[in-house]
Amino acid sequence: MFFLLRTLPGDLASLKLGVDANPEALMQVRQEFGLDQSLVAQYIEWFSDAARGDLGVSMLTGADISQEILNKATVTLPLIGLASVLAILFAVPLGMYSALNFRNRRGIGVSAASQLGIAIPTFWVGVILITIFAVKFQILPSGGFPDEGWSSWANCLESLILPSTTLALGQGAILMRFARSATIDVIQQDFFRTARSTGLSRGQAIRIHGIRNAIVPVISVLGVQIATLIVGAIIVESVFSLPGIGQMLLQDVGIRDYTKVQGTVAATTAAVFFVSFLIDAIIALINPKARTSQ
Amino acid sequence: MKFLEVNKLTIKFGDKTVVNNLSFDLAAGDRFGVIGESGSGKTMIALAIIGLLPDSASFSGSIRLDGEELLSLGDKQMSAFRGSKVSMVFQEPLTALNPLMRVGKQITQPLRNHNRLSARECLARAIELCASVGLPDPEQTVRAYPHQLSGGQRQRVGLAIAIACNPKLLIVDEPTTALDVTVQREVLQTINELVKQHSTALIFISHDLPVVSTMVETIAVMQSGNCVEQASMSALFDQPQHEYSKRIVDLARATQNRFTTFTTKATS
Amino acid sequence: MNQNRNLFFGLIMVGFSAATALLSVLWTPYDPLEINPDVSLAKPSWSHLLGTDVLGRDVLSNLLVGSRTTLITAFLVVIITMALGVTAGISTALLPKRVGRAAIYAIDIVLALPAVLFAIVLAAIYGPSTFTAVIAIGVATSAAVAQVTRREVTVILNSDYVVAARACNSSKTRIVLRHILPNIRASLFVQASGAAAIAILAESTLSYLGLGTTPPAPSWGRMLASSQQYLIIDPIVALWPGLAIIVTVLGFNLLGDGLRESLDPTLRKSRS
Repeated sequence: MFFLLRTLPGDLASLKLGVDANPEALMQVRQEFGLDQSLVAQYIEWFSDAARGDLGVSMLTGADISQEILNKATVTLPLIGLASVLAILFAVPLGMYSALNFRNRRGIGVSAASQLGIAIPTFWVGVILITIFAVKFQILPSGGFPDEGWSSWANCLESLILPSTTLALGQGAILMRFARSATIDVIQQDFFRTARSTGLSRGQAIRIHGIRNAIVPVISVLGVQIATLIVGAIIVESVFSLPGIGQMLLQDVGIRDYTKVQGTVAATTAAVFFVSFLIDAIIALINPKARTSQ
Repeated sequence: MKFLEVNKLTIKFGDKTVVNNLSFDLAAGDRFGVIGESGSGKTMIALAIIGLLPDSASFSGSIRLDGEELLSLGDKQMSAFRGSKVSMVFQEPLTALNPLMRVGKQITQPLRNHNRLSARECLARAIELCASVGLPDPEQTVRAYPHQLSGGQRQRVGLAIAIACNPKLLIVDEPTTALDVTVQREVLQTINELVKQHSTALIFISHDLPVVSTMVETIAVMQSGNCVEQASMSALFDQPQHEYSKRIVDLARATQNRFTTFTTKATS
Repeated sequence: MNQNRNLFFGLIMVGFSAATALLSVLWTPYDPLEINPDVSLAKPSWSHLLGTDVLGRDVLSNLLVGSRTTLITAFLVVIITMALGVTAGISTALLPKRVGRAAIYAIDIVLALPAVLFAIVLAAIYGPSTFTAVIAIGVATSAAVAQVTRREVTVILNSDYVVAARACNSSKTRIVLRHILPNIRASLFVQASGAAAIAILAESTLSYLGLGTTPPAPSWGRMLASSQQYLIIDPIVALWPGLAIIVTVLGFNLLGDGLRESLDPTLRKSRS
């Protein structure tokens, strides 16, 4: 992440050269933005600012970057959160079901469906969902987000249903395969047999004993998948025209607003780190052995 | 009609026969041993009785418990038996318990399956059971996780789980093989006391003849899926009929003075 | 082959896509770029088997040529990914501790970055094109390949026969060529098909976002993007490019799974 961002300041100079033709104005701008300092110095300065939460100001529009990100986050964060929850709700039961039935047709069918699920591009799902729900049946909006923001939260939720479902389906397919293999693992464990010997049916044993054990790998995979979720959010925001961070990023890339892109990517990366840390904490909570780590 | 009647039980995995035409009876409160090396099919017998054979196994014959034909029961019906009428203690204490669940909760699992007890009653019963299997400090133990207990303690937990609902038949499969020698004796003693107290029928499976001999009155000797001899303990030791039995008796005699014989003490 | 359903179906699907790509080189029903406003958004008919898009371009032809783009992109990406990944994997496994560790750290960084995001940033700097997409996806995916390869190579390096070879003072290159490469060959095939699948998904996503293949070259992703505006009128148009992507990606996935099953019997999963 850092190494990537490092390449950007270098290109800032060449970009500026293109935009501002007048050499004198060029000099002035460069001084103003500290571009005449060495690359390393620039980076250090930027980083120390960023660590304090100040991501600077967009070179093109002059808007405060941190503020912009926060604004758009009110759309993106609920989207991602909702999608994650949906994905887990969707993946874990199905994964366990297909594991329980892994020899008969029902289980194999579900497993095959998940194979299909990971091959389907997210944006296609989005478009299909739009076609069905927004166009044919006209129940849900095909995109956009209420301008008033969360003050009219019913409308907001409505706009988020299809997008988060789209994201959730893609993620869910991946998670489901992990849930399935984790459950199959559990079934083969000795303690599963002990549980059954107390009189639990297969389904009951899975529900009571299996969930705890199966969910751990699912959650840790989710942590790894955060990056994919973010990409997914970018796609989904584009499909559904949601004014979130993803769409902002795309636009900035289009108009070559480097500082903004830099700041956004940095903030996102920091968020990813934070979330993985959080997930590790959650796993430690569930797994008593991890708490007293040797 | 006897309490447990096993008649011509045959278990196969594909072409491989792991148990061949086995028949034996048990009266209520009897203690029966099954001895053989690994691969002789003894664990399969236990799994067949309790209905937990792997899906890939095919079987024929009959197992009647209290008149009920077990082999024809569906999973749900069999679940009603497991834990309440028949229960089992497994071989590996390390892996037989769910590592993510507190021990007390696992002990009361059969109670919650078969009886309607309140949470407080369950807790009380769990502490009671811990005490009766000889676990130190029952109130603390109930809240412990499996990895916090020693092997012997974990096996006692397994025992507690098995006797929670006072089953009429208890099957133990190599309960002490994975334990230290010093602990073995104590665990065996505990099993013995519990079985006596509740007049539970016992099927004791092992590869270790001296150990089995201290616990049961009748024994079946298994070799490669076949029951080569079935006799009372004393008969087996005095006059083993089959080649294989002779071999293992001789081996056992060499180490016979390890344990005192519980059964003779009990019946004297 | 008969028992390995994955392999079977995977080969069929990938073969199908490859066949259509080859076919498109020789012949397409219509020139995909030919604009024909008279038949804009026509329903499927005998003259246009899959209908037309808003500019009257034949959907089928575009699909066919699109498969060319898709497969070529996938091919290029796989080459880059495998070349970079395998070299990185092998070298980091062979390198002395300190240098190796820095390299591993670098790989982890790249690994954390998803291909699409990387591509977006590259597109930001250098402008979108198939080229930037290919480079971005190739580099990003290579990290995963590098990691897996490194693990496998380390295992092989520690195995007895390699230790014996080193004891006999075989040169490092010889060790690589004779011992390592043949043993990871199977896994490389599997990873390659996985990489292909990822590449196709990523490329179509980028095209959808407008950051990949530039118009007017047909690309499945972009076909979908342009059809989105006209869903109310003609939703079917959105169906075909998506299906094409699904079939191809699924094909590669199944191929990968199938290869894994047939090439490494120790990985057989089904147990009683």
